[in-house]
Amino acid sequence: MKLTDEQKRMLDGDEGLGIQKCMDLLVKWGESFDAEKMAKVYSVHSSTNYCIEFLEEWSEGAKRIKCLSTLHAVFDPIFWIEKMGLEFEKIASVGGGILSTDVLDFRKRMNKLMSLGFLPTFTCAPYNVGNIPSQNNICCWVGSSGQIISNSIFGAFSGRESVSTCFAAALTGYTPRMELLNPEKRRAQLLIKVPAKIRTETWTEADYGILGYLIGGIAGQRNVAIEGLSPELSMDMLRMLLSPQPVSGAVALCKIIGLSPGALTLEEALGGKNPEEVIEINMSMLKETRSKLNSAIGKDVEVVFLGCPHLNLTELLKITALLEGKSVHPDVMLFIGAANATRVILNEAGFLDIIEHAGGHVINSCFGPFNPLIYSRNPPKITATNSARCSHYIQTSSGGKTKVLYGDIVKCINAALAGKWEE
Amino acid sequence: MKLRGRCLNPGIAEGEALVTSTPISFFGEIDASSGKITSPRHEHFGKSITGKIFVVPTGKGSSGGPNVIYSMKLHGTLPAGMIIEKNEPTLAAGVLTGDIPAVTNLDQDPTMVIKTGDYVKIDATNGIVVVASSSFKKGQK
Repeated sequence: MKLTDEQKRMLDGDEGLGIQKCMDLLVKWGESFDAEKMAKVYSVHSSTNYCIEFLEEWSEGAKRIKCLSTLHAVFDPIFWIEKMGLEFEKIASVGGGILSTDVLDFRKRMNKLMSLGFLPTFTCAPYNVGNIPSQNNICCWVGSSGQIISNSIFGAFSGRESVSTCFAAALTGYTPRMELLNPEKRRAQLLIKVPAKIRTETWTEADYGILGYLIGGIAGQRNVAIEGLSPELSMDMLRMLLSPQPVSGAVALCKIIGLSPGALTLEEALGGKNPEEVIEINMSMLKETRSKLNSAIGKDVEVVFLGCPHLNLTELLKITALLEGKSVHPDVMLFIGAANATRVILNEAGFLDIIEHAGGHVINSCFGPFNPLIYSRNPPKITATNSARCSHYIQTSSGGKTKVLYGDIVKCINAALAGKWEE
Repeated sequence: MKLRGRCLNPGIAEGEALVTSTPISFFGEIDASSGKITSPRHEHFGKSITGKIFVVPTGKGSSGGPNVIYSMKLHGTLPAGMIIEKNEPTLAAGVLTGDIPAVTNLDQDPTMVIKTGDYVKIDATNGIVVVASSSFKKGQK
């Protein structure tokens, strides 16, 4: 790989052992994928789940990170253990201390990250709180929902990152130009056609989630183009369409024709070539997919999860209006995932009081692969959510023991209030 | 039998092969403290990869894999080496983070020609894998 003088100095250890280690990782990683040079990183979105030994070893000698770097959703033991009284076992087996229940360890790790300049956004949706790339900006983001959204809605260049490569990108400001960071690797390979007889104009976010979950399963790792959706889809619908695709498959780029950057026409999305495969969606495919996401037989809901990915202000205003003056059923817990900064705005506006008086909890946790309730000693049996991504992870993380009722925000809030799911 | 591939991470390693036909995600499928495969659906459920030459088709899954591999390094539960048929970004990042000698993109499919229990030597720096017959158990080199 061809390095600049600045990059060579980092590799030679001129900026300390930590940065040398980071640059060495990025060079070897890039060379293994035939990258020819490094690219300047616009922003990093980083995990919070590094153990303290990693943080100290890989930042030794470094003072500050070199680009905007926000932090991912977090497992806060103060909320889950001290406030909610959750009990955990086998914590160490959940991915190398991911759900560390030690408050002191948690504070030590967060303080180390923040002393390096990582911002305490604590969200899986960094684009909600100021980490917003422009078209063609290079992003090194953990979290597969953020990756597909940054590629497909913002037109940013976001690759299949991992926790250590993101950390290294933050410390050095560079990442190898490989895979999806190359324009020629961004051509759509699979074309999904949504025919007009499927009345998407009446769809809720849950319907878009079903379509996204179906598409991911068909696509695998391929880039996708979707023809037949409105070019005026709102962010709420787009997030639910895109976020399940990397969990039922491994999609990182899905171009909505007429909406996504680089996909104003089908020809542009396909890069002037024929698609490898064309699939037309029909109602029976959607019905079968819905049954995978809606796995519960009973209707007695114990926990409702909204906010996978973390909610934006539009969605939170909708929830606030549905909860105003009402109370969550005493047998139900309502968890609403949002970033710290979003919570501050809600609080200033008086809306957090409305949600909390009704019995809802707004929290910066992950309801995807690290859902604290599912890993607790007594996981719920029946949950409800409006997120296909959340439904997938609840079922896979619990080994199918926790069932899911799947429907839009209105159905989920009604179930939280009544304690019963109504179709 | 000798296979040639590309160096993913340099180093020399040898040990008994553990060969899997399914892509691996260290996050969610391997327990860092014991080195055991924890996914009940995995063909080697319950077996340890510690000290083995772990042969996999490719990587998959969560970006958290390198955290698990780093944690394995602290626990002393890492595999001795890895042979990866098709390089994949998350798995590659993990291998490099844990500094595991590893070869990828070989001239033959390693998951087909290497069998679990074979004794395997890796010269990852030069991209060379040497496979002894399965009758050569550890300690009988």
